[in-house]
Amino acid sequence: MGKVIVVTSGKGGVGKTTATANLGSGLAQQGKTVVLVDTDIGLRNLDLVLGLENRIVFDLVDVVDGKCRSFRQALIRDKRFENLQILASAQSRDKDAVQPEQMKALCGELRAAFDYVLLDCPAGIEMGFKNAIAGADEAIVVTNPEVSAVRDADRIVGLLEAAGVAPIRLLLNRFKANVAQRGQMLSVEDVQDILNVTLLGTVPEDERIVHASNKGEPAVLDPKSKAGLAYRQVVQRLINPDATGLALPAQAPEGMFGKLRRMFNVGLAH
Amino acid sequence: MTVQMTPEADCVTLKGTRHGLLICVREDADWSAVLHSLGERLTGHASFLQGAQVSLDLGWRELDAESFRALLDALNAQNVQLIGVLSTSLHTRTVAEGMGIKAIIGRLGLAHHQGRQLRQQAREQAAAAAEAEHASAEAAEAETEASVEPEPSVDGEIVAEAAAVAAPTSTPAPTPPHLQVAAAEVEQEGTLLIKRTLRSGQKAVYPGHIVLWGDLNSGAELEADGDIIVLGAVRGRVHAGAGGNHESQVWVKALHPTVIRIGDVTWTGDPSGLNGIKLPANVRIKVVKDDLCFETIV
Repeated sequence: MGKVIVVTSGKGGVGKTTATANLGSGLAQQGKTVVLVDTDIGLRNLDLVLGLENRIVFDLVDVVDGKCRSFRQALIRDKRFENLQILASAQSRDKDAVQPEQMKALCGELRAAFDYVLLDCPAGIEMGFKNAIAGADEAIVVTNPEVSAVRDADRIVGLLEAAGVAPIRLLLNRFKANVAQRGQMLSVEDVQDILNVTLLGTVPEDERIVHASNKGEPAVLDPKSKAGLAYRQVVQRLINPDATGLALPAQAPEGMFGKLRRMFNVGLAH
Repeated sequence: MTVQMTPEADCVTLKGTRHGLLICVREDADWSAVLHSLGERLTGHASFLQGAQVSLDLGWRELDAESFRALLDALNAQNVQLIGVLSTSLHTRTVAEGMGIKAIIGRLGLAHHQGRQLRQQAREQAAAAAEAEHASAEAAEAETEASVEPEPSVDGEIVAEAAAVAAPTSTPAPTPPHLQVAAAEVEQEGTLLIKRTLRSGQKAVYPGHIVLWGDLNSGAELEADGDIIVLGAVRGRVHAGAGGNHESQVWVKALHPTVIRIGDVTWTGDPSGLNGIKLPANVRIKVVKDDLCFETIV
């Protein structure tokens, strides 16, 4: 019996889809059977981030409407991992094409067949959100260290609590340690203080992740990516919540030696 | 001595408030009786209520989806639109929100009061009947018994269920008649204790005092007719003395820039207006000469 985890945020653009793709790939890399469900009907993205857009035949709405024999027919196998599959959303329909009861039933079937079911939730708190959380056991709330993203995350946590989804854990994305250190951005402590939710991990801002997403390759598989390293740690913590010794990736303050080294490296490169 | 509610006693009250039409449902009434009474009310005022938007005060009542659906159907049948629900039950609020109805934590207690009034009447009637039947000595004994008898069990359940702390039920000292009503009401309503963080979009309304044992986050709201005490950080809006009582106070553990109101006196802690002044911890806020006065409590 697997776990159904919804990846949600309230605010758009904080990295829900990227997080879903990376956590899914990371879990698959650890040998778990994983299915990723894109519940953002009408704004399909998850397939792109994994580079699977050209393989979609059936989508979520087809499964719910019974247009394919079973959900298995609509699942798309990942290029890199055999044990990772995705269920794409429909691009030409809207959020009302699916009802919460239908999502609950689908999640029940998927839970029985996979170790992890990750639901990529749409932004907002309307129908799409209600659909996405209907069948979820647990939640990962993705937020950025910005006041607007944190307030939206707070609203989402309130709604998840009311719906009885537990545990709710926080993924702080696009974190810039040096900016927070200067006091120009909310720190990890500030965000935890406001939201009062268990922190699953902090993912640093990383240019490589944008590049990786555009190429359709999750950063979690990129050994050079700082964000990828953070996602690998988050995956460890997802599998074993008590995993210790995994320091949250915080960039050490750049001292004089760091500056010199950087100058030296730059010098060499030219 | 338990008092049975007469089934024909009215368990639904229509009330006009500053937020529109409110239907108060008595908290201890049988649900089928409520639906019946509601149906009668709606058909009785059919022309007046046609296309109306109403809110419901469900008090402490725990409603399942089926019962709530029956209620919605009864309202829809008369073309009445339900726009919001007041309830102190998390379960009822969840059910309401699941059906797309806005839910607010709180209860106005109007219907509950009516229930209490009816119980009081019934008790008096019973006492009177007892007096007539028995000898005067026995009657006097019965009366003492009735006065010693604790509040009906409904109140006890409320305390347990919602972790609310009721104010002492002892009769208040005599006060001038013009003050009596307001003071007695707040006294009787007691205190709502909320033991969690109120998050963005959540709102608690209560006719008595509110104690929040947790944070009030940005975008959350507290509204009480009496005092408000927050044993955590306040980033959301606070409105004490919402009924216009300027004697009300607000106590805050950690104050952040927000909007605080007591009665109709407002303070907006706009960060730019603070000129970098750090807000102190442990603050007591009250109205002094039509302005809010902040005191640090040691």
